Amino acid sequence: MNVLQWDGGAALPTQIDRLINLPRKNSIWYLLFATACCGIELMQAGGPRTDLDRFGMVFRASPRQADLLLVAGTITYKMADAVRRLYDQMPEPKYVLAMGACANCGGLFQRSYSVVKGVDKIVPVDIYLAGCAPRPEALNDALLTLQKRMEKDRWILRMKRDSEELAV
Amino acid sequence: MTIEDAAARLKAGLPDIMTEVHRGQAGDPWLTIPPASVPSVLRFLRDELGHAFLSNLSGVDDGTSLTVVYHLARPGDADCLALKTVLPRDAAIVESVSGLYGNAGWFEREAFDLLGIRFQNHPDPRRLMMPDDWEGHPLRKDYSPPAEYHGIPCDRPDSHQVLDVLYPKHEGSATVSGESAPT
Repeated sequence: MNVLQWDGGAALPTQIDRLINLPRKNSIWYLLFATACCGIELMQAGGPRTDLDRFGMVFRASPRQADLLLVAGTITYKMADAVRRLYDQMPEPKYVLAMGACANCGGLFQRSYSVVKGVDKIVPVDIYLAGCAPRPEALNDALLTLQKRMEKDRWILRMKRDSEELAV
Repeated sequence: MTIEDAAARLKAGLPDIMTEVHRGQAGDPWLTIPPASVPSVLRFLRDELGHAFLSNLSGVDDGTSLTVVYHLARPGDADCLALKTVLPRDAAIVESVSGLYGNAGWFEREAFDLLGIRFQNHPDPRRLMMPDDWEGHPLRKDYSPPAEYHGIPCDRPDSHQVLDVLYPKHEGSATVSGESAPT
């Protein structure tokens, strides 16, 4: 590791994202968005046995305080606009986890007239968690995988990319 | 009270209305009533015969006509009284009974949303399950889903098509979608 030294001081050149990512990945505040039975597993994952709290993950009831949109359940066309609006209200950097078969691809209801064939048709999804419904342990694993991703994330570049997309 | 008793009391109370008891090969018997008489018949059944609760209101599309089915429950009776009224496909309009039974409101919204049966004088005639700007009524036999809704693609390839792409020579790839392979 390079240490820059001069008279009376020293500096450690590194990437600022690395430093910022560390507290970010240890305080994932997820938006409670439970629309179906996956929501029960999500609540269970917040309980004492899986205890997401020990990773600094707590639920938020407001999208404006959330880092992660955790879509737990079936999304209908009627709900689609609400999902998009919640995503738009979340501050950057933000992530989306599609939990369960319904959020991934429509699941059991993918031939239904009213169900969106996967939440990735509405918002960009970072992590897909398979299962119907996934157990709390699986959700825990998905969130730890997200932590690993956030650790490597160059979110300044990500924000730059997003602002360019908005400008276009 | 059996359905014959109810039909007889109805005949005595409302002699102008043509009612008929039907029995299928299985299941509960039902009573057919003309669409125009729905409010008066249900009011009579509720006030005079004591059918205090609308257990269910459903719509049926059999391909030729649309049917509204009312299931009325009466305290003391084990079985519901089933009433059917047949509506023409192109003008499926019937009077709302939400003034008689408060819980009919959402049942009627559902029947309107999925089958396009219109209920006159409904206090809140919006769709129930589909978005307000959705086109068509999904459970009608002549319905075909749109290609997209607000930019969200609506079609989903069925399993035959997916298998044909993944495994072009898989067993059963010659079967037409919707047909079952010969066993």
